[in-house]
Amino acid sequence: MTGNWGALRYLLARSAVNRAHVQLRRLKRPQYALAMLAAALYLYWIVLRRAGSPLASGPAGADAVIPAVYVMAFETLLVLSAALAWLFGGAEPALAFTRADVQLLFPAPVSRATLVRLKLVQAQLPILFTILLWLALSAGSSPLPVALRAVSLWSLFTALYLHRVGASFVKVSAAQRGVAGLRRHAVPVVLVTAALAAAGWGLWQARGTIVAAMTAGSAAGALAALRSTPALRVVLWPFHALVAPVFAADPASWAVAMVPSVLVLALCYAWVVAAGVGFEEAAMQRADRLAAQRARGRTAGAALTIRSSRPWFPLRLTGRPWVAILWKNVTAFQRTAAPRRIFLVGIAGMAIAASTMPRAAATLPFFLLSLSLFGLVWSVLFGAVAVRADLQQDMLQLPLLRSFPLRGAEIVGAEVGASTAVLVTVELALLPVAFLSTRAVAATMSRGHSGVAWLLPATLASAFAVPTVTAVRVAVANAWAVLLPGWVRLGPERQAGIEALGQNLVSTAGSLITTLLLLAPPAAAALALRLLLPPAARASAWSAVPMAVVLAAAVAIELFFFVRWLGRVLERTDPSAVEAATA
Amino acid sequence: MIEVAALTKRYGEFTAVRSLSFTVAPGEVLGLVGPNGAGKTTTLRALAGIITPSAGRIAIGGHDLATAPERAKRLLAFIPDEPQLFEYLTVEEHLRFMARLYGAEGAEPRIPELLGELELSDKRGALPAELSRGMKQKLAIACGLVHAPQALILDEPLTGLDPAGIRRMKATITARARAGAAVLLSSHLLHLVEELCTRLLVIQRGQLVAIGTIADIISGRPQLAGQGLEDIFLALTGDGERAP
Repeated sequence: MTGNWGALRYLLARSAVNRAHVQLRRLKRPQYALAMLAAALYLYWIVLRRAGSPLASGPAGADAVIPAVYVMAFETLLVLSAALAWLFGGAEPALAFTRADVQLLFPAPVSRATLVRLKLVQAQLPILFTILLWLALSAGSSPLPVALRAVSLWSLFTALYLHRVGASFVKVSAAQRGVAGLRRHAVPVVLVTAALAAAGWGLWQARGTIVAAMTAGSAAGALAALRSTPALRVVLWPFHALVAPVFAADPASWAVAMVPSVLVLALCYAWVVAAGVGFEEAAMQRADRLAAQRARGRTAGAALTIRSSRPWFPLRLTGRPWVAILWKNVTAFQRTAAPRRIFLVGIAGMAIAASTMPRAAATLPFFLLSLSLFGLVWSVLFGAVAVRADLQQDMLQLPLLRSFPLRGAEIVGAEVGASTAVLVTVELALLPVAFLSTRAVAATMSRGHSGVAWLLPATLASAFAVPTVTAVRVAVANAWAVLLPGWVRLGPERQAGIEALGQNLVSTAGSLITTLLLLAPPAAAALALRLLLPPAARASAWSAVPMAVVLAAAVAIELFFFVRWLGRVLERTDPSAVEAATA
Repeated sequence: MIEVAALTKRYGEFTAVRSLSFTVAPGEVLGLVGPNGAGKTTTLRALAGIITPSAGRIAIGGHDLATAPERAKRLLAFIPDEPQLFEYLTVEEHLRFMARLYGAEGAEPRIPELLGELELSDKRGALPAELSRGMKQKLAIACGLVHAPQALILDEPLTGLDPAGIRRMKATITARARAGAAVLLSSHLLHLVEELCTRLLVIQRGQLVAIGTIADIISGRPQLAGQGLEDIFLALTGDGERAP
């Protein structure tokens, strides 16, 4: 094993050095340097500075006491996290093997235990990053020195990671060999089953106290009652052992608390290394699946799940060619829009709607009004980056786009038009809902319609203004994809890391400023029209309608020239430059 | 049909293609060969209108690619070595999309014909993710042929095809050339080039090394007489010394 481990140590060391070189080299490119700077400033202002840098200010005073309820909640979160490892996720090892690992290391004379150790070492970097964030966020809240807290957090997160890997091994073994596979992992299976039984028994025993606490509105009390049963105290012991040093009051009690924490960590390590599961096949499938997903993201801009449903509208074989791109993108949205994401946005909208609903007016119209307004605001603010049926995904296929017999402006126009069409359809469907529900709410509250004379003109004005702003947002998002492909996320694959954080900050701020700049002249034209109106007309709510029409017309003219210009840029853009920028 | 005059493509200080000139007549199959990094893909991408040349002129069917790109591209089909497909369109929808995009006249009956010719009829409703590498390559080829192009540019067209697919593809290329299309084919498979191409264009480091039929090339270099295409290629590109 020593010889093998020597080679793997070399792999780890060289990979780390080379990755650092690549990242340093990337800093020579302005977008990465600026992104890194933006991310660093963000982290400093939002996290470190707000919390008072733990590295600079040292531990809090000895009187800093963590409320017991927080410790309890933290332990409960750990239990839930551990439970998720058993309940969810397929029968795949929770070890991130790459295709290169599969092709080069699996056939090599390297034992499974050594491969597992390699992955455990590689997992340390994200664990250390997580610890850093935790230290920053919890600075000033603990009497312990930073180094001691870091060690306790390392023990906790590493043990959790090992537990997740161990659980995945059991699931892989069960999927491969059924009952025989489970029998092979008898110890963890028996322990988990016993823990579940004990948890159930404890819950049953404490049911009276829990109900009483819940009735009194004390969730903390219910939790404390649940944890007080002997059975659950045993089940929760490993979690308590890991959490205790993190919240220790002083170095002496920390040292005592670390002993059981390290014991739990050592047990998890021994379990994972000794598991000896034949994870290679499952790991290979996982590596292939992840690589295919990445390839789809890069080459086709496709989302991970695509449904082969009938297109919303058919494509005739004759007619204007750019319609084909519009059709393609709308169909792409139709087939790749993630139902889960739409569901989450809907849930968020409903939650906001429910929370804003006054008890006195707890009616369906008020709920619908809040929901439709949330939808409209979401569409205008975030729709352009959420619906990516445009150059935000097609720039990855620039060589193909460039080979099409279309002018650049036609391509850009169709691309921008597709996302705009999707969003505007949603907005125009929400506006009548907002109109009708506002009328109903006003009728309930004022017993008449006199208080909503402004409603019809406001709705009509919105019917022009909202799609107009959306079109500008989409055009700007596409402009960023064409002009600065290295700064924005192209395709569905989300980037991670500090540079991506900085890039998102810079591009979001940049897009917002560009949108405001583009909207400023049309808004000025709309305001100029208002000044030209007679005083009586100016005072009327109906003046908003011609203003919105002027705004829409001015933006249409502006976007016509903007798209033509962007088309010329697209025609001159070298695909290899895009590949280099997004690499 | 394809006219290239003094094509040059520079990336900063690096010149990928230097003053390359050649023509491909209707019915002709010109084989573009050269070692790795010779500038083949850059040349093909410039011809397809994907990258803009730094200098020189490209015309397809008499239409200048710089001044009338849409007209020139409408006559053209570019089939890259790595199939570029839209993951969210089915096989048949890809063909309908390309037909509309290229303004293909009478494409409706041609679509089932092409699907049959390339053995994709059973997969007409499948998404690219459900296709094998070879099937994807066939779909990319079908996309290129749906508008009956007069100029066909192929980059390693046989990659990923099985033996039956290779035979069918060779027949397809030959048939298109017989129908009057100008074909430019780039491949490292020299036996394929020898079998299909009427003329050869050998480039190295972005520059033309030789052009013509094999007989033409040998006539200027008597020392190559009697040698196979592989030896001729290695001798022309200076790789012969490295050959075992």
